[in-house]
Amino acid sequence: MKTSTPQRWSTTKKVLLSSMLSAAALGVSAKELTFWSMWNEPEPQAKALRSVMAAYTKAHPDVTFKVVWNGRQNQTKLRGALQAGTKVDFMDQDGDQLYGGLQAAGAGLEITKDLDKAFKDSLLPGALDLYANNGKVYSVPYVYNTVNFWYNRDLMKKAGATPPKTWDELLNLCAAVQKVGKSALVIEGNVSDYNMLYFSHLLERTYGANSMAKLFEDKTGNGWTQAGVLEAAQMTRTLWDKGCISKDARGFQYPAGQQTIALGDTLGELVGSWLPTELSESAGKDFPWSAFNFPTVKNGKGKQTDLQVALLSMMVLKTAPNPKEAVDFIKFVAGEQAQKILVAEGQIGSTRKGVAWPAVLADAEKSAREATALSNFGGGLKMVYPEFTATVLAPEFNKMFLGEGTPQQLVATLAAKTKDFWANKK
Amino acid sequence: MQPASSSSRSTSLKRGIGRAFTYATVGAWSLFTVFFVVWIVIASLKKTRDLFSEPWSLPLKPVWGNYVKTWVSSHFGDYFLNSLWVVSISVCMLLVVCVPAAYVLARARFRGREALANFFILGMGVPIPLLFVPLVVIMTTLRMGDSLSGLSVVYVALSVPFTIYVLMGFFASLPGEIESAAIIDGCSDFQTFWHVMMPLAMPGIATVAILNFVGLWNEYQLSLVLINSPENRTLSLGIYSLISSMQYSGGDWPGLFAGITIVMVPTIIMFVAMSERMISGITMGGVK
Repeated sequence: MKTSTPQRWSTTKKVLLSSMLSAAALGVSAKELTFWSMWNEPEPQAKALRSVMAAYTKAHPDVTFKVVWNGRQNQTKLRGALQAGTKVDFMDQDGDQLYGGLQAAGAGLEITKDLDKAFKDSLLPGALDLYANNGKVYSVPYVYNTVNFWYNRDLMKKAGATPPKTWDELLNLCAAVQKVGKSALVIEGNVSDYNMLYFSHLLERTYGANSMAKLFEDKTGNGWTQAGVLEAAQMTRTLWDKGCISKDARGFQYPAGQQTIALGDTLGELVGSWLPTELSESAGKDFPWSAFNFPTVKNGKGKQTDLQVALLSMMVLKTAPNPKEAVDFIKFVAGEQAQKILVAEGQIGSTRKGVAWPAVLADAEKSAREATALSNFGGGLKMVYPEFTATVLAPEFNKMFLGEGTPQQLVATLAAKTKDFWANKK
Repeated sequence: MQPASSSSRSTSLKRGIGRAFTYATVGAWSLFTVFFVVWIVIASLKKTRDLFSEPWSLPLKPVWGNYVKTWVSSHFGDYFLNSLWVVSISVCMLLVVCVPAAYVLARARFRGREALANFFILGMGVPIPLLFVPLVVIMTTLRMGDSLSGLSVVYVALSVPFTIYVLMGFFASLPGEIESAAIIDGCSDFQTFWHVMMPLAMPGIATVAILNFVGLWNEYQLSLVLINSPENRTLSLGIYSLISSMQYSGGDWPGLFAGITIVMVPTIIMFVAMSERMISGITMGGVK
């Protein structure tokens, strides 16, 4: 007993000492990353991100996270907080909003050199470059949303139709659906960003992907006076004239329009791949969702595989207290393990090659993999010139689309306002 | 006599028509408001699909779980307590600051009184969005950013002009003889204020308390800018986070209506409980 007591003491001391040393070592290198997020805490995507952070901490025990779940006003709140000197390591938001917001304001950390070829090649084509500025990368996309016609597969079958490849086939589809007593397409009268998708797609199918910025950058305003622009505007009105969109839809306020799909009264809507999730409560889990890309137009330069997307991205801030660890984490989020967690728990489309999307998004996944060119939601003009898009293009188009004013008036207004915009810019 | 009688008949007819028009307008307005309040409560007890397929029907099997989900999962219980705390404290602090100030500005005679009163009134014209950045900087410097106590201080500061303006009217309308009698009876200035004038102004004080309570209960912009931590969110921020999470995450519309009902309940209770006093306060301020 006498001999064993000092031995036990000695063992206890060793254990205590080594524990203290490890704790001290951890204390020295422990990092807490502050993450401001666009999700609200109860949302499945937030829970999925929690799991991703837990997985990262498991692999890197010295890194923990402090998360502020701000919801969709994240960037607005962050800009105010940054001005007041608040320290944040990284944040997330829609990529186009980041591009026109924090990135344009110089608040984002450039991470081009931190991303090696293997990392770049691991992402779906074009995803990383979409929000890059002259080759300089400031954010990593981690959620992939596509823009397609989302429709009820059973209703399409009932109408005896197939997904259209050309504009004329789309009009034929409308007629077929009308014959079975339903409306082919629906819109939300008050969501001009959604309605603009018709105009931007028609312009892109006519002039090629990302052509809207080029039309706008003609400082004389004459970009809009080209014959194809007027034709595109007129084609959007054809949707009403041919009865593709029910006349009632003019008065629909979000979410009244999309609910008609869930209720089986309408075939589908041109919108982002978030629609099945948005309608999951009212449509039910077994709703037969499918999607097809916007069709081509006669003699147009754009292909049906050219895709508009809305990617959600993570950005490390220039003023981040722990930039190295934050960059490492946002790369981890785009990695295979994290993406699989996000798909399984958050039901999102993955930005990484080889990670399967949820079954309901199978058509969106196919269109993302086969995309021949990417442009941002709405044709990309909102990303580069958000003020013109928000104050002129979207409201003026929506007025014309809903029947207040003619396509000719729209073209004339866009030309005049574009000229004014550039004149005032000087 | 004949013409006079006919003219009085036509005057009373005109008055009757005017009154009928007023009642019809106010009645229609009230019906419109009550209808939508009732519709929101009914909508909060439905399933999402039923809400859109049969928007005007009554819920045969009310889904009380919408309230439980909103209260617990969406943290409305916490937001409710935050709102209650921050608004109650703000209104109490406002009254402590503004009642004596308004009394002095309304009744005392001293150099610069008018300028001071006008200065407060001027404060009502400052657009709140202009103050966002300075407020964030000041509150962060004072280490009161992202806190309910900081938000409360801002609420008090920005509500002072309106409260003083309204209360000055009440104090100015009180008869001076009562004040003089109290002074002749030996009351000090403070005793005159505390024991005589403040009780007389109670309907007015109740009115500003209710108006401020309702205004701050529904306030959104300042709390959006000044509060970041989810645990410090107020109800209006909670409602907004419910709305914004509709995109990408799916629409729980009945849950949203349950949240709106939760927000409405305290203000409705307050109006029901204190409407008599408020009306008498407004009438008193308006007539005298």
